[in-house]
Amino acid sequence: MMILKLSGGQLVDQTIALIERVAGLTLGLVTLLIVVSAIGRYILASPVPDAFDLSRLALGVSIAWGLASLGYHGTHIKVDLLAHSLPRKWNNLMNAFAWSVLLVFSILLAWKIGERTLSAYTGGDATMELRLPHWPFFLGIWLGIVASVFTVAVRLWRVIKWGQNLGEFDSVEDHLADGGKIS
Amino acid sequence: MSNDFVVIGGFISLFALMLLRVPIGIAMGIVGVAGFGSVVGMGPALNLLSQSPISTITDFNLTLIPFFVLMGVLATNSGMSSELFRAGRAWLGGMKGGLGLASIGACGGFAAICGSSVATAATMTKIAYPEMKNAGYSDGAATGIIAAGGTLGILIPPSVVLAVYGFITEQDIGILFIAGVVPGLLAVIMYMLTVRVWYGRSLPAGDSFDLMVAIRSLRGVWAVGLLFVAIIISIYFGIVTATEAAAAGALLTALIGIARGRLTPKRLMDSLVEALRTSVAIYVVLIGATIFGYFLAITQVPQDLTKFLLELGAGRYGTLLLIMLMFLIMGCFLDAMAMIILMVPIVFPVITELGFDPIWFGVIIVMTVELGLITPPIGMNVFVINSISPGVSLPTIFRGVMPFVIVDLLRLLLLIAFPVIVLFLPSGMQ
Repeated sequence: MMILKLSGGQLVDQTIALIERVAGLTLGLVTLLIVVSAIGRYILASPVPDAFDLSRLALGVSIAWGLASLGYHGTHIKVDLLAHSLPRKWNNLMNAFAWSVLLVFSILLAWKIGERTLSAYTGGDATMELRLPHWPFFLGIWLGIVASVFTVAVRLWRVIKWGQNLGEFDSVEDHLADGGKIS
Repeated sequence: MSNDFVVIGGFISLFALMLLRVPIGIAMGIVGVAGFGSVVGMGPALNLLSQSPISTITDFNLTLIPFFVLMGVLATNSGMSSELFRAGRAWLGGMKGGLGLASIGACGGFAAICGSSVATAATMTKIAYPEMKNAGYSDGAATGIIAAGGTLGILIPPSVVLAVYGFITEQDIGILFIAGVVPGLLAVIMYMLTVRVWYGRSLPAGDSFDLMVAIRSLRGVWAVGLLFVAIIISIYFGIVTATEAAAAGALLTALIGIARGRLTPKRLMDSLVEALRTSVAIYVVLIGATIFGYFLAITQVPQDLTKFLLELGAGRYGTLLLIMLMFLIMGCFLDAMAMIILMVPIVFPVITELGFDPIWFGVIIVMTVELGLITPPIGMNVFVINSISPGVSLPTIFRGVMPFVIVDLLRLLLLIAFPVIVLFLPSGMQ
C-alpha cells in the first residue's frame, strides 16, 4: 500500500516537473522571440511577423500551465501570519479550507474559459498579421486551467488525508534559501 | 442590498479569506465576482471569469514581469551576489567600516539585477554577515546594514513592483524605472553615510587597499554591470521598449552566465522554471485584482473614498500622510506586491484628485512599502535575516536597523518636499 502511495505521488511529482519544464521552456522561447523580433525591427528593418501576438499568447499558455504547478505546490502568494501562529490541527483545517476555495475558483475558471475558447473557435479570432487562429492558444490556456483543477484537487486530498502543509510563496527568496536548488 | 452593505461585506470577506490562507489573488477574484454579482447579477459577474484572466495573462505589457524575474534568477544562479560583494570589498574595504559599505554597495548592485528586496536581504545575509561577524562587527550593526541594504531591491530599476504599479495605474513603466534611479542611488549614498556616521566609531578598521586586487575583482561583475547600464540607457533614450529591454536583459544574462561557465543546461532550465513559478504567483494576484477592480468600479469605492478623504480637510499633504500610514500598517501583514495591487487602485483617484504626479507617487509609495520591510513590529527583511541567522534575536536586528529607518524617513520627507528629485530624470526622456 505504501509503495503504491509513493509511486502515485512520484508519478504526480514527475508529471508536474514535466509540465513546469515545458512551461519554463516556453518562457525561454518567448524571451528569444521578443529579442529576435527587436533585432529584426531595429537593425534589419524586418520584424518577425506576429511576434507581438505570438509572444503574448504563448506566454499566456505558459502562465496557465504554471497555475497547475502553483496549485500543486501550494506556493501562491498568501498571508501566512495566522497560519504560523496556530497549532498544527487548526493549521490543517485552514489549509483544507483555503484549497477548497481555490478548487471552487479553479472549476469556475475552467468552465468560463472553456466557453471563451469555444467562442474564439466559432468567432474566428485571429492574429494581426499571419491571421493565425487564437483558439489553439486559448485551448492551451484552458487545458492548463483544467490541469490546475486536478493539481489543486490532489493537493487538497493530501492536505486532508495526510495533513501536508502548503508551500511558502515560491519566489526568488525561497530559491536562494535553498542555495539555488529547485525541488 | 444597499451599496454600503455590499462594500463593507466585500472588504470584510476579503480580509477574512486572506487571513484564512486563501491565496490573495483568489480571495480578490472570489470577492470581486460575488460583489459584482450582488449588484448586477451573477450571470454578468461570472462572465468576468471568461474575459479578465485571459486578457491579463495575454497582456503584452505584462510580459516584462517574467523577463525581469528571469534576469534576476539567472544572475543569482550565476553567482553574481558573491562576486558583487567581493568587488565591493576590494574597492571599499580599505576604509573604516569598509565591509559595511561594501555590503550596502553589493546590496545595491544585486538589487538592481534581482529586483527583490527580501531576496537581496536573504542572499547578503549568507554572504556578508559571516564576513562582518568575523571582522568584529556587532550583530546589530551587521544585520541592520543587511536588512536596510536589502530594501534597495524594490526601488532600484528594474523593479517588478514599480512595473506592476505602472500596469495598474496605466503609467509608462520605462518612465517609472527611470524615476526610481535617483531615489535608489540616493538611498545607497544615505545608507553608506549612515554606516560611517552612526556606526563609524564602533566599526573596525578596513583591509589594506590593493589596486590590482580591486581591478581583478571587477572581472566577474563588469559584464552584467554594463548590461544593467545598457538597459537603463536604452529605456531612457527610447531605443527599445521596457519589455524588449527586459527580454534582452534576460537573454544576455543567460549568455554571460553560459560564457563564464556558470550556467549549466540544468541550471538554465531550473532558472526558467523558478522564474515561471514566481511570475505565475504575481499573475494570479493581478488576475484577482482585475476582477476585484470591477467590483470597486460598480460600487464606486474609489470615488467614495476620494470624497471621504477630501472632506476630512487634512489638506494635500495630510491626506498623503494618511495614505502612507495606511500602507505602512498594512505592510505588517501583506506582501509588498499584493499590497500595491490591492490598495493602489483604491487610493490612486485620491492622489490624482489632489494633483500629485502619478510617477512621483509611484516612487513614494514603493519607498513606503520598502520602509515597511524593516519597520517593527513586523519587518519582512528582519524576519528573513532572523530565519537565516537564528543566533541573532529580532530585537537586536530591529535595534541595528533603526538608524536606517530614520534615514529612510528623512529621504521620504526630502522627496515629498522636492518632487523634482524624482521627476527631473524622467522629464528629459525621449
